[in-house]
Amino acid sequence: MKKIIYSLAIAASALTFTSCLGDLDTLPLNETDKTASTSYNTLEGLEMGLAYIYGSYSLVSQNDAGSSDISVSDAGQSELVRQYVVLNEMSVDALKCTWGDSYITETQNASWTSASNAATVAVYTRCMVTITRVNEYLAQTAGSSISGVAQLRAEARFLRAYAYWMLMDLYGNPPFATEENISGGYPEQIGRDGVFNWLEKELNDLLTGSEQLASTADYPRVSKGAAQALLARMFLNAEVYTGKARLEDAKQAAAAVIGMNYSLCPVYEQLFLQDNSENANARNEMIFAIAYDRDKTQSWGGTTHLVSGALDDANSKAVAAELGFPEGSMISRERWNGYHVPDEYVSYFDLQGVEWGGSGIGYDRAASDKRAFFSNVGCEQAFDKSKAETGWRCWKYSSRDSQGKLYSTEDYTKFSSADFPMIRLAEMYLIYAEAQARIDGGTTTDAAALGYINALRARAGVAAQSYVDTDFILAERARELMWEGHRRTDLIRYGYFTSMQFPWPYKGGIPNGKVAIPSYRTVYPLLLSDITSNPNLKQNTGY
Amino acid sequence: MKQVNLRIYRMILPLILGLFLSVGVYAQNVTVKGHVKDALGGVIGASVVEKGNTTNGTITDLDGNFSLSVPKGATLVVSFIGYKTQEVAAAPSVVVTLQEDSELLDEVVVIGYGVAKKNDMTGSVTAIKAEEINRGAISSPDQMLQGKVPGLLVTPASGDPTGKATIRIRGAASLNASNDPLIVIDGIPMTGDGAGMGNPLASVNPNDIESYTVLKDASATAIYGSRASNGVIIITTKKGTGDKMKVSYSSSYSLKQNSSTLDVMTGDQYRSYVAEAYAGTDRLAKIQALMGDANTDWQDLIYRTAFSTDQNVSLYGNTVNGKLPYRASIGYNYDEATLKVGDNQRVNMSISLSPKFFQDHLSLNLNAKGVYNKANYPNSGAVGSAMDFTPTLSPYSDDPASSCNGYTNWLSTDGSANTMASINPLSQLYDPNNSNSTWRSMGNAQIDYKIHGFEELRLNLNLGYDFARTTGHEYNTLGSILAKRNGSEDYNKQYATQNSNLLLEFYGNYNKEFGVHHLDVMAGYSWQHFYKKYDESKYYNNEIGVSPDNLYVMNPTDRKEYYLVSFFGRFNYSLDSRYLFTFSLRDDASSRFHKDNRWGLFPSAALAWNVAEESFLKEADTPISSLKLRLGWGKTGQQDIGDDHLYDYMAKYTQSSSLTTMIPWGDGYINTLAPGAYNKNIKWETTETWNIGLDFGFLNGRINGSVDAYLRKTYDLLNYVTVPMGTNFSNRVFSNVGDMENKGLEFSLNFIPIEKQDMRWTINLNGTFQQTKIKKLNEFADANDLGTTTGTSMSSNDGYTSLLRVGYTPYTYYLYQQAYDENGKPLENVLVDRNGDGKISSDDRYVTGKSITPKFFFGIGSQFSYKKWDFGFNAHGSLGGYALNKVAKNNATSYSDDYGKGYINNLSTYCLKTGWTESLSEFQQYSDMFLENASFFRMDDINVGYTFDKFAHWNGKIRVGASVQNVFTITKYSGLDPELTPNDGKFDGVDSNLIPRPRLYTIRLNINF
Repeated sequence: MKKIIYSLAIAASALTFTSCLGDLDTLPLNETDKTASTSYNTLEGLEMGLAYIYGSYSLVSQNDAGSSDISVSDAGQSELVRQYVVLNEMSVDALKCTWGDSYITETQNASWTSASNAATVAVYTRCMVTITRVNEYLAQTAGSSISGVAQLRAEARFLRAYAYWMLMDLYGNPPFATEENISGGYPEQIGRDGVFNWLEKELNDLLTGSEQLASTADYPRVSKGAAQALLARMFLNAEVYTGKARLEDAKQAAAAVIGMNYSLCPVYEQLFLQDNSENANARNEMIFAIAYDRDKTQSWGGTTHLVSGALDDANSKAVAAELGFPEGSMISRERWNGYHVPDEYVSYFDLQGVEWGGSGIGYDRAASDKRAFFSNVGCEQAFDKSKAETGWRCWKYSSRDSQGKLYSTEDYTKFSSADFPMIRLAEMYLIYAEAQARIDGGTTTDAAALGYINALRARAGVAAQSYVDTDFILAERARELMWEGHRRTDLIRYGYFTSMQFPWPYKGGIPNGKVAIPSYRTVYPLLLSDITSNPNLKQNTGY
Repeated sequence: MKQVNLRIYRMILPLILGLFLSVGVYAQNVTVKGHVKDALGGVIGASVVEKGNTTNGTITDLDGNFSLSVPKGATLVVSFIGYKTQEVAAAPSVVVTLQEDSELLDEVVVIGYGVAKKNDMTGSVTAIKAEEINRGAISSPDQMLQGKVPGLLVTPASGDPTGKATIRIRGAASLNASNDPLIVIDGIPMTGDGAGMGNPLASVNPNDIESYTVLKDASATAIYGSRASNGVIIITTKKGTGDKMKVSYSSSYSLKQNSSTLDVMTGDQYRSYVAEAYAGTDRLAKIQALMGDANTDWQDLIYRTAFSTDQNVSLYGNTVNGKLPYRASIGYNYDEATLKVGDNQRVNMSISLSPKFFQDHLSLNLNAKGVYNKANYPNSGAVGSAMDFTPTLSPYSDDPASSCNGYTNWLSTDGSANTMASINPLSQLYDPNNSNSTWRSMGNAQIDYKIHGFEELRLNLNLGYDFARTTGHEYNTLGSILAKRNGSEDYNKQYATQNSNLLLEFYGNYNKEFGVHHLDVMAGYSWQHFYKKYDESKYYNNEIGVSPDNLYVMNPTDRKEYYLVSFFGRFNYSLDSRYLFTFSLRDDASSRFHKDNRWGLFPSAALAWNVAEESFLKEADTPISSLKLRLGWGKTGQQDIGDDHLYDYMAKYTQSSSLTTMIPWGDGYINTLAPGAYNKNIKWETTETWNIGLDFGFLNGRINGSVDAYLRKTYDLLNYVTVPMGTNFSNRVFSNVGDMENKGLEFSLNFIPIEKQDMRWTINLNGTFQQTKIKKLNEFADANDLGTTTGTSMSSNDGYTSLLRVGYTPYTYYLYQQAYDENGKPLENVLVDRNGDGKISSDDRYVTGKSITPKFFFGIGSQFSYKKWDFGFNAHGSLGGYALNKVAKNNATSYSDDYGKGYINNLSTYCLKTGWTESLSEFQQYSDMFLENASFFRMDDINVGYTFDKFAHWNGKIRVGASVQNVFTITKYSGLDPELTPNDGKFDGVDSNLIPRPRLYTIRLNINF
């Protein structure tokens, strides 16, 4: 009896001990959980991996629009395009907001600090995380023999380059991270010019190197045009980034893009409508677009924010009426009543028949620039950041499509389907003209340059020019590229961002804006939290 | 009725006749004069009764003498607390010498992997027998523990019966990992989550519980290693006893009522206030345009007088010639919330068999329990809406411009929901349907074998399981305001969770006395597997004319598991029952961590000195009946870092299957595949505890108690820390970086002022002083580091109210200082410029040093019985905690620009007190004027009962009782209830709208036969 029990006990325990220690090596149980090696061993996996890098620009997580894959207090506020627009348009004269969030106050008043706010955190972190994801993607796919991998890697490299461009433009001297930094090793800085030089080499490599971008690609994936266009934009701003102007290179690069298979969308407003990705005319002007879809690619940032953030009920209704939609319709699905445009900026558009205090949108739309999408119902002319009913409202991005359908009343989804134009052909026209004007000493009558400017003006239904100077081009950019994320970069290039001679409401926190902004504010600070966790980083001067 | 009465007479008649007959037979009495003494002399108050006729008895007088008339040949039973009961034959003169009852001291307490004699224990352990807890209506085991154990703080759930109470033993040891104690039910360690029910305790029927053991200090808990940092509660359920079958039935019926509501304006009050306040402004017309002429009392509409009942039957006994003790029970509990719609129903079944074989060498312990629980969750948002929604509108309407599904609501002119407006509280309650049901079963087979011929050695194998399955759904009725606000016509979510937990545990125990030496050694092994599966599907019909199939979102099954493997041992040595020594060691491995960090060693050591056993005390004439000094030290861990962190240590890729976050690709859309952030070095938190304690008893235990002081340090505290950008796939990861310190002093005191044959009075008191401080939060300490901002926002924007900050209690409030006028009235939007820079900015915030964590908490209870009456009360309270009254903040001003957004809200009468009319600035919302002392004393229950026994030869007992629960609360706190529940799992002290805790009136019936 005893023996049997002893031996049973010993056998049982021996069995359990050995098997149980092995149990500790668990692996995730979900089919959707994978490792690097099981992820990228098919073309499908490689494509989904790249799709995620595209998603870095438009999504806050791969689960839903309400949960973020980076640690932030508000998922919706952490979307890259949303805060990219805020940092570039709200810090200057194009976009004002009456909400009290600290990132809005700091951005409008130029009072941001290295102790991050929602906008600086979102852009910095999302760009750096995108870069890390690409580094991982490149590391894991190096040597892959799957057919088509080269082009996918090239697209990933472009998306990394664009993230570095944003960091270089906004933060000056970001940490420069490579594959070696993943899970170890602190990234170092290589200087703003270092990033510029790396980008120039990288983008050229994507155009002519061994792992090239495709000449054309399925919209909205990127092709050579995007790399060429980013080079044009970099060269135009080269003096800001490196101290050395590259105007001829800017002109050449812009010309190279113009020579590719892109074309201006005949109807300006279609570029920003809900069906801009289905509309071939709009698509042909897009060089690099961030895609959204109200069902499939949902985001509280991106164009959803631009559609819903701007209008209140009264203006939403007035615009719908102006456009001939049925009584009671709203041009924006949700009306968060936050974003405004100061009258000073609207005046670039030479609106006809402006009136304040009326019940319509406040100007004669048919007689005005076709790029103007404003409304002023119930508003006072002078923008006051503490009063919601001041300044103009903007509906450049709205809930309608090119077929006259309104995605606001008969449908319940809150999200926008409009794609956001990161780079489009019109910008190349403007880069060409500005580079030429600068080469020519500030004013140009160059036929090609005038041709490009007048093509844009003809589309807008405004008079052609017989010559253009740099200030005219800046104003043209204000009209053509409003709320597309260019304004801050433009004003810095022109030297107006810091100048007391170029006021706008609440510049530097002063209501009339007649103040100089210190030059160190032409770049945003690196995040303090990154400085304190990475001993290799040096903060930008002034912060 | 008449028939029943007749039956009673028929029973009573023979009984009365029988009594007369018996008097005739035993008429020859003898008067016994006796003396009862112990080693010291006469014993006062000892009970002397006639055996078999307990109504005939007396107690000894001041000299220990008594006199009692009994039938000739009768036997006397002499008893007194702390002494062995003695029987003597009746004689004209008897002298009884009582012996001290060592069995009382030998009382056995269930501890981890075995039992221990109370007298031999070295750790800080509180054991409670369920029968000692006498309460009105108990629907969950956590209620039974409330206020009963020093160091144990039970914060009851809100008035929602599906809510969960929060249990903290000696404060929180962690910031981000679990702070719940480990619950062990009949030897099975439970998972921290409730597996579909509030918490793991909810799976046990309180009526089935035999005893609780609360292990507090590390010397007691370390045997549970990496799960023991927050203490351990061991629950043992009842087993079969006695011989023939007995039946126990209990039943209770309760009515519940809210004791108070918040004071908001009536429709008339609002109308006249607006007319006066905005007279002559253009605002008046705009507000009036939105007003109705109703006088709706929303709070009255959403609350009700609720009902609950509890029914239990148990059968127990011992059959097969006393070889098979058994017990079976079934219970039903129905609990309704005072907030309409909410209720919870539960059926519990349990069966236990504990046979013994081979002359008691082999004992088997088989337990199985089953639970079915069905919950209807009320939408707690209605509590806040009832204050906000305008009283000027009537609740119901059929006008499509201002109602959905018959409920008045705020709509935009295009018929869509006004998403900024408040919601009709009734539509919030009745439009959604949120319910689930859970089946759960757990059980174990414990096989204990004392080796033949070597009985000192006992081998114990325990096999256990715990399975639970929950299915539920959330549904928003078609066309309801909630559906519209949610962005779809309707919404239907269905989900199912499946949990399983398997246990295999084996230990050997060697227990032997060698003269004055006593050795008790245990060594064992444990394996536990936890598995969790979650399925969810959602159906949105958000596009008319589109086939629903297209919009049916089925998320892939989410499966998770982890294993715990442990080796453990304990060594107990006692010398002459005077000097006790315990050493324990556990080597634990958790699959949650990387191979290199997986194993952890958790030792403990303790010493105790039974001073009372020393001859100098034993022989001296002192009132001391017991005195024991305990010293303990140990290390424990916390491996429960959250189920979202099961695979944190490995580089993992996840393929999304979400239909809303896809990327356009070619002609269609594809899902994404992403690497997730990870931290290879993640491991458990470690807690080191020192404990010194003193147990004492005086006057034969009529005064007894204990005092414990402890110091607890937690290392490798998990916190979300920033990672250098470019090195990981997110900006922060969960990492072991912090330290925390926790110290406290706790005591319990029990008095028995009266102990007589038919009268007994007991008083229990316990209290705990505690202090928790964060010692370290980041890898690189920085003196200027503010800490981590946390705590619920006070405004509609993002914001924080408190800090995790080095040197302070977690969730220490970080606020602006309010400025007051000379009359002490707060000035609106005037805060103190603390840094004197001429403006108010975030630099003017200050660390208040206050938090919700009380400095002292206590419990008090008393039972009094006289003859067949019993009476008792229980109360608890806390001192020194502060609550941030967000409800008051929300109602501090009459200002509103809501009319501009197409709706109006009601006003609280509180704004009339402040007299404020401006919009509150962001700074004002975070003012310390809303910080209030949340100290309180709450009378948990008062109960009274009467027991009927002796119904002729029917050997049963019937107790009828009545009680009131949540009787009253004494507090200075101005909000509804100072005892706050966590917000999103965080005990941050912000008082948002909690479902009020109702008052209960209960009647209770117990029948035992």
